[in-house]
Amino acid sequence: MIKKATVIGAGLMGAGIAAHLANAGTEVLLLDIPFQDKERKNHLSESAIKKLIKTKPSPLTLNSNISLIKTGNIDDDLHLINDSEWVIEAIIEDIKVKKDLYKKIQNVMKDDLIISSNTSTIPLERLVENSNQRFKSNFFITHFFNPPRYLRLLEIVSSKDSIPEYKEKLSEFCDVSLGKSVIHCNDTPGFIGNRIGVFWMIVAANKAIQHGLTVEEADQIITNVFGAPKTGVFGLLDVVGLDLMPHVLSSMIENIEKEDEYHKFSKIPDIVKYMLDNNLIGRKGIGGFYKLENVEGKRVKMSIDLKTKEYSLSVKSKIDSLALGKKDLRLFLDHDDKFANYAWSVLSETLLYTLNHAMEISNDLISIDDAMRNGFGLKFGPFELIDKLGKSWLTEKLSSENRNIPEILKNLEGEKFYIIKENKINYLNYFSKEFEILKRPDGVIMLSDYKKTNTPIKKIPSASLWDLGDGITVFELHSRGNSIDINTMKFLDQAIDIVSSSFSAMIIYNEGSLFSAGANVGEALFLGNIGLESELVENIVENGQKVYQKLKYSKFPVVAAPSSMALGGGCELLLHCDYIQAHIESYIGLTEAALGICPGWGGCKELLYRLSNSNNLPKGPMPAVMKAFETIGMAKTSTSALEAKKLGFLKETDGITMNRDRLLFDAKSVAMNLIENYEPPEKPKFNLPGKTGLSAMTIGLESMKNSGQISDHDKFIGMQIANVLSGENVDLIEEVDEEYILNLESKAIQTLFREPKSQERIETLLETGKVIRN
Amino acid sequence: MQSYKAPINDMNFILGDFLNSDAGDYLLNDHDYAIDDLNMILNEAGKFCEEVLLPLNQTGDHEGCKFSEGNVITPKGFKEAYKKFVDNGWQGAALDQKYGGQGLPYVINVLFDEMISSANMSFGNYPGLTGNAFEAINKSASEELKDLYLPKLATGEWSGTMNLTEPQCGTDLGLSKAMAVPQNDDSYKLSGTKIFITGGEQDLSENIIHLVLARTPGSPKGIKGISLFLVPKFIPEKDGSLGKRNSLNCGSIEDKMGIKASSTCVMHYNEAKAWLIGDLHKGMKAMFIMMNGARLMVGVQGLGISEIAYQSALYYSKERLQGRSVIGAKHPEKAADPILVHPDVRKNLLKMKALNEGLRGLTSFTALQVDIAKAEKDKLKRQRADDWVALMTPIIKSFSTDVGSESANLAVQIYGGHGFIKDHGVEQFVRDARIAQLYEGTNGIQALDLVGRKLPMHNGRLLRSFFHLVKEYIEENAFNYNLKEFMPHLIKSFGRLQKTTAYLASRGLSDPEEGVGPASDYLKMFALTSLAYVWVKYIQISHNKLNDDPKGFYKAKIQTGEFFLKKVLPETGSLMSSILSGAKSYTRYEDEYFESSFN
Repeated sequence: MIKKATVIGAGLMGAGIAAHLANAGTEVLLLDIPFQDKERKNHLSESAIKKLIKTKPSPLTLNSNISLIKTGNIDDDLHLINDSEWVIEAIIEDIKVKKDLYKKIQNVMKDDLIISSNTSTIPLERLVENSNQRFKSNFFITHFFNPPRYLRLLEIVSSKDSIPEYKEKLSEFCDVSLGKSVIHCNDTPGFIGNRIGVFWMIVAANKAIQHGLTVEEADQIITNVFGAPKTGVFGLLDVVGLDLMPHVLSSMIENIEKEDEYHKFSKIPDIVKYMLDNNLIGRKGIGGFYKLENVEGKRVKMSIDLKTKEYSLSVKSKIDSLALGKKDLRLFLDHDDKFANYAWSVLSETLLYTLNHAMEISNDLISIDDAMRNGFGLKFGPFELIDKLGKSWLTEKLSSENRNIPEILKNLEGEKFYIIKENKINYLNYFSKEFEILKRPDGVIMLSDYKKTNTPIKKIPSASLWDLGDGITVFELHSRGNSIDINTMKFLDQAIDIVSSSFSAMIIYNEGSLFSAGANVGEALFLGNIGLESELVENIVENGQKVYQKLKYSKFPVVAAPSSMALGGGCELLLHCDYIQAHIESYIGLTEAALGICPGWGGCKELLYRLSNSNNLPKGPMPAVMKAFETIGMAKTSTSALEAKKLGFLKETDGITMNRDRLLFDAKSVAMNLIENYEPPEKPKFNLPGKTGLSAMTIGLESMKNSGQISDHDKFIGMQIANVLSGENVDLIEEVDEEYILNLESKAIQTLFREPKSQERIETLLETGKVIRN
Repeated sequence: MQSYKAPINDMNFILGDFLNSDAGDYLLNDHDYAIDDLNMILNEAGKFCEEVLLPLNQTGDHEGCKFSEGNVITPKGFKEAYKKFVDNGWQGAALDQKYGGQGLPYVINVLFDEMISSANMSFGNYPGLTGNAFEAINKSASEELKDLYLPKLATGEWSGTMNLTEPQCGTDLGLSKAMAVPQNDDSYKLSGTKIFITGGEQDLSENIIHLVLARTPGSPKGIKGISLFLVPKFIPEKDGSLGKRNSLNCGSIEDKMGIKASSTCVMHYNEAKAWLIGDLHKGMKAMFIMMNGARLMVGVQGLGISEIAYQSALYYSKERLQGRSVIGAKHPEKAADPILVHPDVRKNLLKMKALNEGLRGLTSFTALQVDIAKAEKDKLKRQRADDWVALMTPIIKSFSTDVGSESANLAVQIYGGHGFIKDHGVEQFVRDARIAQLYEGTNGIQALDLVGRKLPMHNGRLLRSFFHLVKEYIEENAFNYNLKEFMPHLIKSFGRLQKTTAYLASRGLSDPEEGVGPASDYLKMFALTSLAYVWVKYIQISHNKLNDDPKGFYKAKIQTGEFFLKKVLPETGSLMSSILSGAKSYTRYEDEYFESSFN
């Protein structure tokens, strides 16, 4: 753990890094050059901090983290860096300016101060030229990707002079406390991520122009073939900002060898020049390859024509031949149309480039795949892509085009770079030409690794139960949006029985893009639409309540380990577990009200229970009820696990993991601890305010309605939720049990489900992904 | 013998009793007529069909359309009949009053269409398509085009057609090649070939207004690049008088199995002057307005054929003397009993009658929803009516035309060998009915539309319009003493339909083949259950009318209903078992096994 750090340079990256250090609980000193106005010398760093609060998505996991950041300026405060353990330089990418700063640092620094630069392209060797030995041995490159809180990749570069313990300390801190996926790179231009990633983007853009594709077509192909995010290549360039590309490119060209393939693509295409001249630099400008325009009061997406440079309505591309590659990518790549030709040209350039430079830039192929996955959001790294094609196919296709076969590929024995040997994942060490066992760092278990070498205890199309060893099982959701439908709930019921009879604990965890979007409301709506309300009530609402209660009172401990969204029924699943080990990026909420319904699987009673036992609220039934009402009624969702604690979804005792890759391991450790002497929780009793509470909440709804903050239907939903939380007609001195509240939930949800306006909300969400307030 | 009397009693029952109970307002809203006036109009229409159209049905079939040098000559008498049709103002009966129509409810239009289809299905195609073209133009075209074209279409002086199919594209309209190139004056020049164009050329109306799907230069590929164009045979002057002949022509007509008096044309457009209707690239949307109307109309054709087949078979069953009743002679004074005494004949006749009367109610109720969707101000009620129409259109199109075909065959069966002889005229029904199962989207496509599109649409919201209506009806009347014998049949098949629907929805998600495989079976189940609802309502109404039933109309209704519920409806059981047993036995059948018996 590093308790204090200094960031120099309060630009976008510097401020973002400072914020993320604060997220990890580290005190930060943020320095920039002094402002010309002598009265406000710290203005640059101060205004950077103010900006942090306004930035969306927020660089801070909790706004109050900002109190950990102190400001200053280089002239007055540089000596304060010695209070820190680590100094990160994140100033302008100009080697001369950087070196000037380093000189000043060398004049004041203590002996054991670790220094690093956030440069994205300048080699370490050049940065430390003429520095003293102390500086050289304490100096690293730590390259964060933007935005530092959200992009997981972090590249560390060290030199022969670096002190190994410092390297160790930095890596561990960045990994465990900052939650980054740390890779160690050689000191080569652009390191790994930008070297391969920028090359890939430039090739993808250039080739699209050459092959005469529309931006939509190119993006669809890139998304499909590389498993890239929906933004494809042109959408990604819009996000990054076109204005950055010439800088990055020229800096690469400057530092890179003459024979490097980068030089083939050094010329900036006409269309990009035109766009730069007209400030069409992407999302931060007035638009880029795509832009949003107001047409007749509607926001419509436009896209640029790569030839005529004119914008027109963006039309979703439809490439029939892509379907060929669904099962086997090779079938698409072998197809002869401009789409497949484009895909192959980008893929082959990128793979050849990677294979030709891998040994120069990285000690192992895993780091290269990690860099592309965690830095550019690709589902598959280059070597994983090659494995989809197979050595023979790739070699044959390359040879048929008279292209050179890279040594690494020639040396590969068999078809793939990753193989399963003796139930373990192995990868090729391209230096020794031997396969080595893939070892994850201590404290990391990946379910995806585990799934490659094991079969589930039981599996249905939407969920699986895995045996993780040591008596620990993992209940994994893998449906679309990890939503929970009737069959999934039945399967959870069975899984509880299986664990109860043959195992010691259950972890609820998955490695999908979100934990769970909640109940499959589409299924519920459909049943309602065909008049099968009875089935809806029995099979969905009541059975869900039953299974969650069974989970809560099972004789084994249950640990939930969410990452990203856990909404509605997915949140209720968490709330019924003994312990939650949450990834810091957990977005938790009982969002039912936004859909015109209310929590129906025990969300109301669980949140009430947590809030009634919270030390942060005054005692008595009203404060907890009012707080729960606010949270559920307004469908509040946490923006981080820390905020989830504030909202009451997580208990103070629940754990938070910063690094996504460490989540399952942490959850498993908790589960192991809980197994010994495990006793199911005691059934709580509730004192609810009844009519008095209801009228207090009614008054609140009334005034919100009158001031136009909420609609009639919002008020109606609010009344139903208020009725559940206040306990309906219950008397304050009368204790009620969980079943009492569950019944009220069930009644409320049935009432709400019959409302046409609620149905309209659900329909709209399912069809457009948008939440409406009708 | 082709025997037909317009089923006016039944139509009066539907208007006065069945629909009027919950929809009188929509039938009469904003109009200065009463239900009696509507009855009278139908009566007149019925006479027109019996007296003018029916006599041309068999002769028209014998003679067929002729083609000569780009012209089509319709059979003898058609021209005169069409003139009478126009002179009597029938074309505009249900069309917008703003452009010279009479604005009668769509329900009346549907009932009238049924009678026309019974009396002369071939003839009916000409004015039928004009009505659909009118609606498409009225909904999507510019005011200028509307003012110029709609008044003449409303009278029937001009007629309309729809041009979708091309040699390489039938169901998959995204493959269309016809191309319209924009000109400087707002118009386009349209080129391409369209086939299977009903009424593409004829000698009945003075001008023909073609609605044509085509792409434009640089338009997106597939269905999203298609626009709808109006292409007149003669380009009208501003005052509506006929101007220059447009550069389009009929290349030939098809020699067909049935509806021989209806011309089916190959149309060539050679840089023909055309005008865009609706938004560019939104041709499918504009066309769908026309297609939905056209699909309902084809369903009504099925019903029409079924009705005349029934009446012709009934006529013969009473005339034809063969054998004796198995329980002893019914007419000992005659050489033999009429074949009507034989249980099998009665059963077949009743099946036709029960289906016809049920379908007439279902179709009229659906037409009423079209009227409601037009008139209703409340958004949710309007949506519900629209949803019902969208849901029921493929069901009515497919099921009614299957019934038309089945009834035509049953009629031939009742005629025995004489049914096979052309003179009797019943084999014509078999041939005419056949096309209705094919055009406007084959019945297989209708089933796909129901299961693949209408079911999942808005997560089953369309289904709500049907399932909630019936469910509420059942809940309200579960303890109605008069219905105690009948209601259980509806409840049973409704429950089957609910379960099967839920099954298809969940299976279809994980395995689309399992979803669409049994689509036709499911459509039939849906249709039969809808008819069960109609029949139980009929019975309920009829029970309340038994005190004043001099001709036994209501008694007959109840007994027909009983027959339907006990003899026809149970098929939902076997359909459900078949659906629930999955589609694997045919979807996973190896392609080469199809040839195993000979290769």
